[in-house]
Amino acid sequence: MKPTTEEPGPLPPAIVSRLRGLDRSQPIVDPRTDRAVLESAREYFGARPVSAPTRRARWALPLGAAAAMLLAAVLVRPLVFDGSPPARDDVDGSGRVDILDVLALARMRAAGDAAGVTEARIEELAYRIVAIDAPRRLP
Amino acid sequence: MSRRPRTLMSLLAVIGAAAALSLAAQPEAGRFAAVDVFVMSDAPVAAWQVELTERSGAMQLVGIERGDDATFRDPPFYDRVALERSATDRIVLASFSLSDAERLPRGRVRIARVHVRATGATEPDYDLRLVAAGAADGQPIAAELSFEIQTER
Repeated sequence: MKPTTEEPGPLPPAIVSRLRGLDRSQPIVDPRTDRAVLESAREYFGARPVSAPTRRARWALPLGAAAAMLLAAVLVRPLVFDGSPPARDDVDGSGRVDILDVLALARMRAAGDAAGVTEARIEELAYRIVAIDAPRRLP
Repeated sequence: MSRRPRTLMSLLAVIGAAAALSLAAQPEAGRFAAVDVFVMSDAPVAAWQVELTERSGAMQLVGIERGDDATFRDPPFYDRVALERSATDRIVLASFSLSDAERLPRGRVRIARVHVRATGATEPDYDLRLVAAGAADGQPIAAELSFEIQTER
């Protein structure tokens, strides 16, 4: 038996019409249902207490500011708040630079056990500790 | 006869007025004084640093001198720029000596003399602060400060 290559004949209009109806998208939610769901959602969430988000917002700002200040203090501290003298000038290790450091330098130089301690360095430090304004060069 | 005394009187009045105006126009000379700074310590003092402040803002620095001990630097270390400005309410002085402890001063010793010119109408209000004092071995020592004002003019 040989297979036939004949074209199928036109379908009856009733069947075509029903098939086209199946292809059309069917609305799952109609606009009325959609509006009803939206209103109910608004009603529900509108009635919920707002304390939780408010509490979070109330603490968020101070906490953020405190964190920012702490971070700034940590970052800026070495530049601004570090009042410790340079270790090179704090010869006697007292934590501050004064005439006793100048005396220590002079004694080291007099004893001959300090290479690099010159009379100029001693004078420069002495003039620096008595400077009224910002540290300046030897006058 | 009556005209001559009147002329004389007018002349005297003019001279008096000129003298008064001249005195008024002169800038205030100020009062010069010397502030002697003393340190008191039982231990021999090898180094010292003090800060002299005048609270009313009427002090002009004129000069700095060493004290009585010749082993210390003359003059002490001070801010020369501040002195050149000739107007400051604060000066820091410091000095040291490498002499042996036996030769260093102890007790009440005049360590510096600060020449000042007071310009204001009020009396200067000085304040003296010890920044540091040390012995011959470089160790800090306890010391007290005092000052005396010598009027120069």
